[in-house]
Amino acid sequence: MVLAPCACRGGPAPFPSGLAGFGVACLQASIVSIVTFLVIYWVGVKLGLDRRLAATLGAGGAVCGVSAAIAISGAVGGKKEDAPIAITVVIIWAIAMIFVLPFAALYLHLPAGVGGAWIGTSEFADAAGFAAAQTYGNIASSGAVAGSSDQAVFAYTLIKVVGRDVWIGIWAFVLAIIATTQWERTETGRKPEAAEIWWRFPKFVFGFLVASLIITLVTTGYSLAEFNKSVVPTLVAPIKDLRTWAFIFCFLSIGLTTRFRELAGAGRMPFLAFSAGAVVNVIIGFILSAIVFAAHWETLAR
Amino acid sequence: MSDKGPQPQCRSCDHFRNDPKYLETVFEGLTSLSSGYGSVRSDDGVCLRHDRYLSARSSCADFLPVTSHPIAQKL
Repeated sequence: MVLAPCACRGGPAPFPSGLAGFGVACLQASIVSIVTFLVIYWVGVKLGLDRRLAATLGAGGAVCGVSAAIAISGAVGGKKEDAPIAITVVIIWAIAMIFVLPFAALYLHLPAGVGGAWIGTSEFADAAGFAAAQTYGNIASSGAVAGSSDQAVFAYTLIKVVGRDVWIGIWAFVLAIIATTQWERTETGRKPEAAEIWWRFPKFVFGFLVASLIITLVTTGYSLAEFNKSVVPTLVAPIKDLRTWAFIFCFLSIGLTTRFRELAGAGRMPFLAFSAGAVVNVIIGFILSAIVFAAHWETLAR
Repeated sequence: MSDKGPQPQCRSCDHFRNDPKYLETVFEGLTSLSSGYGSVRSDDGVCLRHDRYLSARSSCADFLPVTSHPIAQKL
């Protein structure tokens, strides 16, 4: 269900503006991904956690939350309970950030694009992040902060989907090598393959890229005035409506399938390790979004 | 588990379970924000013998061919 909204996010974003954002998004996401992982992993090991659990938690915080947790846990051959522990911690933080990040950004009067980039950097699940980004976009539409609703969503999508999610395969491959050559050399008898980066690549990212490409091709040759007059009401607006409905059903499905009583007990140490990384992630995300690359995010999609 | 050259992989082992539906029941909370059908999972699954979650391309000395399953024996 999350795949449809992700593909829809690519709809109204033409490639030229998307391309301009790719480089900064990838750089910012890479910095955060690496630092967050290392902090969570290091704190986890120091707290006495198994290395594979620490790596699973690290990936959950660095990349794409629940999906990263199951990808990396399998890649490193973790215990069966490692993935559920990481899933629980990620869900707790992801839900909390839906509310914390938009209102923190509002308190700091961050422009829409900057707020969206911060959310993309510091949220831990795509669906939760989109909810937060859309919330901040709505705040921007009300005039409370500078920028447009689209800027918040575009910035978030570039950072989270294009910048962070694609790291899943890379982390899985690297950690598989480390697990099989350093942690337990005779454990599983398999040699990690570079193809793992592709096998585990979140294929829905292509939906976003294809949608952006289609919009770019369709709108080529239109001036800005013509685009706003004819393309926006006949093409962009209906796609946005479709996006809204897709996410309504997405979050309805999430709500109907989430049973907090059935979540695995995470334990204090895994939660502390993840939280240490989350705090660092939020701080670095703010610095990169609101200071280092602020000029880029403020003018995104204009 | 040992590494004594090429061995049959977990994907063909009777102890291995990687059906997406099964994993969604075993991993609490997986279906909230993800799915057992996601490409990121590749072909990973649970080893019931060692209580591990690992790649289907893994192997170990406790390999048991799937054909030894009671249901398969009846066929």
